[in-house]
Amino acid sequence: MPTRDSVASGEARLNRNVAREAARWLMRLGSEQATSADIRACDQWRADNPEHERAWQRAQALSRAFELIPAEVGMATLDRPVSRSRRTALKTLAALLAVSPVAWSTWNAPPVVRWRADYRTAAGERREVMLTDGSRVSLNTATALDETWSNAEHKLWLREGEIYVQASPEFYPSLHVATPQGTIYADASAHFAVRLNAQQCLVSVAAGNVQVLPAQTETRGARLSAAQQAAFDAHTVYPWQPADLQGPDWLRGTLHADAMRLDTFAAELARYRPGIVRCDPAVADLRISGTFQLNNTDGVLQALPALLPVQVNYRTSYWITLGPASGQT
Amino acid sequence: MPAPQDAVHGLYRDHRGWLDGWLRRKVGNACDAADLVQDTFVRVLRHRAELAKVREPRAYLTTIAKRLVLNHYRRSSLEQAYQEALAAMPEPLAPSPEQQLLILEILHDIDSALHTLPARARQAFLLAQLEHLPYNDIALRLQVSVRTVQRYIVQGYEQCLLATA
Repeated sequence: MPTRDSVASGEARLNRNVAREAARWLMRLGSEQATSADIRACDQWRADNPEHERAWQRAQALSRAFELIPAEVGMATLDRPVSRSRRTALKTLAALLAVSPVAWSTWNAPPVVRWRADYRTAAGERREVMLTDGSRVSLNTATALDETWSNAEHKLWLREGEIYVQASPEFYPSLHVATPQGTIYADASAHFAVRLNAQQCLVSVAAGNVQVLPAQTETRGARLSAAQQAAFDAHTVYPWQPADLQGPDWLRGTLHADAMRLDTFAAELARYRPGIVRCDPAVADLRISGTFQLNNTDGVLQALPALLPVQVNYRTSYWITLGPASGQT
Repeated sequence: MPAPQDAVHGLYRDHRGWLDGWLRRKVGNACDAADLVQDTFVRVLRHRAELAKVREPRAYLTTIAKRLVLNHYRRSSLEQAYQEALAAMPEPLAPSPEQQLLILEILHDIDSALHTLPARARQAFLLAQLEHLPYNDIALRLQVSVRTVQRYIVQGYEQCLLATA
């Protein structure tokens, strides 16, 4: 078995293609159906190139290493139940919930405040970060996210905003996202978005499965699979709805509206710019459809009067009101 | 340009306390944090030639520390499972203390090499290596096709052969 530190060992890494070819030979010769012709062909492959032989020798060292592992130990350690840590985490959480005010205050006394968060974006900013375990997280506008680890879990704390997570199974069997309303337990390689709203949290799953556990419930919460999304608060997970397998539109820098109420649209747009976008109740019911570029919210606002009977009033560039077009009431 | 040795010393003097605080916050445990601080600086020392290129010392330190944190937890879960397995073994069969350490190192190398594989692929490979099960039996056990088992075996070998990091 090679040592863990290639720099210290001085032994060069094998080329990936050579390793794969060697792996194919090893698989073939390990099969019940292996023939003497296979063995000769493999010998020929080894003789073809010194790197092939080096890969072969490494494989021999590997099988000697495997032989040293006692039968009682091998599967019990190398195939240790990865879900154990998650069950433990769930149990711990359940214990915390039995005294829910404690669970709640743990959240409210976070070690980190927003400006010190590990990852954060300003209004209008989006970025993707690669976590150490290989998971990728995209942060939407005005988002703050912290990351902690323990024996049992790798946890992201969504303090504010919205994220899209592409979990990687490296190191931890699952990834947990804590929000003020509860925790999301994502299977290895799940892809999902989490958005914090004022009272609720919205989870949408694009791939894999997640378990949603509200902070103050004694149930097991709810399981969501690919193409499902659900809102939840501290007590309940609401019925799921269909979700987009592509992940949220903001990943592609757009805001998609399908007969969206104008006040909702204004609130959505406001997330992507500093300042306030207010919607006059007189036009709040108007419906808007289309795909809008998040990188140019000023342009979107300027274009609104061409789409709807509204006018855009700039008190300052940070205080904008959508009102009825002049001549209307 | 300070000599690399001095650079390590400066890094240690200026950021050790900060890194310790950061790690305590991250792992919630002062003992683990202290160990991880030491491990981080050992790693820095070993790769001190890199320091000349480092622009943001704290970002550099936390990048190293994060990786060590994950390895640390992975290893401790392995050690825990190993202790449990050893405890369950009948005494005459239990390996000697030296053997136990050697086996732990082997387990750790294999564990690190295989951890990127999906659980099923890892299981298939381990059943072949540890229990010497024929591919057909593994396929039955895991409820997949023999062809899939063969693919899993190839993946397992490949990861082990490539593992050096």
